[in-house]
Amino acid sequence: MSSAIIWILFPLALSVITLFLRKWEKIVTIITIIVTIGLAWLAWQAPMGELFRVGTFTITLEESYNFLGRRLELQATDAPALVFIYLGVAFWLGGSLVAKVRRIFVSAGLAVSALLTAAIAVEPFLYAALIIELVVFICVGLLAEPGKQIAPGALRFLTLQTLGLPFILFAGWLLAGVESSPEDSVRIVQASLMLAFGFALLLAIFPFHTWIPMLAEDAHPYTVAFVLYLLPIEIILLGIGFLDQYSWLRDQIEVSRLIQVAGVLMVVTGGLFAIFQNHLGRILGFAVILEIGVTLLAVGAVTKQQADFSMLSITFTQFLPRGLELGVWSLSLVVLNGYLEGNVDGLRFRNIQGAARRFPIASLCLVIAQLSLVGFPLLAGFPAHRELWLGLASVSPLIAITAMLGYIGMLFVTLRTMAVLVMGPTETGWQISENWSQISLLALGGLGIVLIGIFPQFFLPLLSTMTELFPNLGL
Amino acid sequence: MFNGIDLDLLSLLAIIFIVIAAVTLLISRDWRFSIAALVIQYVGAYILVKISWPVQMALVKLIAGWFSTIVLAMALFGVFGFKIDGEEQAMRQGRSSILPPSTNVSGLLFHILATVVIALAILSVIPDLLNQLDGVTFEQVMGALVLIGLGLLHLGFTAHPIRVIFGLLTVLAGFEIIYAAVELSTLVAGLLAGVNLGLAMLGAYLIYAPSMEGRE
Repeated sequence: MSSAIIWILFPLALSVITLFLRKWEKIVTIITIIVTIGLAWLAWQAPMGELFRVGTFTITLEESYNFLGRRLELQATDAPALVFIYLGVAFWLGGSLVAKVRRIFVSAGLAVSALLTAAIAVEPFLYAALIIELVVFICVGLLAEPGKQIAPGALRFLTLQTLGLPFILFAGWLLAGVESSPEDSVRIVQASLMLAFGFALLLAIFPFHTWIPMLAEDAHPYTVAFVLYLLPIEIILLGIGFLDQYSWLRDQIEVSRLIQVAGVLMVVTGGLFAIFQNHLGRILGFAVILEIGVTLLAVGAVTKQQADFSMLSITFTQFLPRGLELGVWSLSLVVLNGYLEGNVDGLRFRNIQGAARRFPIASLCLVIAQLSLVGFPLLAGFPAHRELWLGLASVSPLIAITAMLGYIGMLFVTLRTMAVLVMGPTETGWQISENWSQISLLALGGLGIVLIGIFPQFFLPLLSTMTELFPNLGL
Repeated sequence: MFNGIDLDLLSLLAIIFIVIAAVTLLISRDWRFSIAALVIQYVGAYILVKISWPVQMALVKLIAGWFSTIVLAMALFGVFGFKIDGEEQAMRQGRSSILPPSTNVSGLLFHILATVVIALAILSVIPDLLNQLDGVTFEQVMGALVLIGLGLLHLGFTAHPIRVIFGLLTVLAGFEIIYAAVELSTLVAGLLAGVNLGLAMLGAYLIYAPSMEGRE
């Protein structure tokens, strides 16, 4: 049996089936979570390309699957990525049980996980851009809620992602030409510009970032966080794939500098613009912008000129804490949003003044997630951030110091959020208004952030093995 | 400027189709004209793609394009029906369409002027592009740039969901013409067809979504 059937076609088929069974939301969600965890476990345990014994049956998981004249290849080195994708989706589906998202969330989540796997598997890897575009369509469909006009941010998201696709595909064609004639400097410049512009559109790099806060303000916080977590990661993987594939690209010091400048720009934009926001959803959007910048800073250091391949594993270790932070943050917003039901102004500071007195668990978890995101010690974000800052300081102190401005901005926003949540117009008594399912999921998430921060050695090395996906960069 | 360019009749026809379709999409206020323009646009794109691809592969573009158009047409018909003119359509959708009702003439003039500016820009970059892209013909570059340019113009003028989908389909069709000349892969053809169909289905959903109820 081909591994592509198990990790791509089966989840895709299941997503269609669950679409028809969405009436039984809770049961379908729980079964889907079990299936996705099972797929993650299978990716962890099953040796791809070798015999695999299940009871009395022996199955050979073939690595390659021919599809329309091209190959979908899932090898043993892809296993950590598969585990990450399916456990990640299981985590987000688990949260959806209390987040009151749309019923199609389960189907969309499964389809997204299958397509993200296909994006990793497709050869040549360049075609992943097309698969990512299909993921974008699913995400926009998920964000456009029935009975409402589509949020302008979602429409801008669709436009910019779709416009980025031609640039990436065309850059791929130009890059192939550069490989065959590396002395053609004109083509090198054209390919680099195409690539830069394509990724600027896909990764919402300044000034194409405006849709993120718009979306985070208007759409359901949990759905937004899900989209803003998985999609940038997959696009970053595509970008790293380019660096891995084309040696001249990673040898160019200018490419590294460009990525780092983009990273600094994003970190500073995210952190400083967040200071001027009065809406918790928009702040979440700017936090995502900051995080994309952080990842770019790490990727920018992964070139032969910089000779810092450890940055690649730091890039991947950020993914676990980020998922937890965004999940807990958005779930807290959902709880607070429930408190504001019917208020057209939504999660603005003036509406949530003193909310911590009624929703202490959600408020506490929100602040923990924000602090972890800025790399506060003893929280999940700290170990990866610490390594990143140490690495960056050795590569370019100027970049490290400039980027720190963004973090100071986000730390200021966290303190402000804390103050707004605690200080209400009236000094009412403290009470717990969250229900048990909200309390248990938020507590689990918050505890996870603390545990990963205290014992990073048990959790983070799992993701650093994703470097095996890119043998030319990581070795 | 374009010495040695010899347009055959079919390619010329394709460019005429494309220009008419792209301009109609930009200025049309009635969804029926827009849908007809999309149908014509994909015929033009098919003829230009066929220069580089075998007929059976190029047909994929035409069929996927027409399917996308049908999906959008069915959704638009379901929401608006046939007996609605552009103005009423714009009001029912709750936002201005392409041309706000009070600025019919000035709006039309503005769109035509913008189209002329785009046309001039296209004419100025064609020679350079022809030099850079081996194996791409003048007709393909011309057709592709018209679609990309007017598609982008369309996107810049509107924040209306269905207009955005029209604009994106136009830009993608333009890109596909040039990309077909440099990439001959069945999987890419299939995936690009999937992208077009996906965009159309998303567009259909976005048309219906405001009138749907409940937590689907």
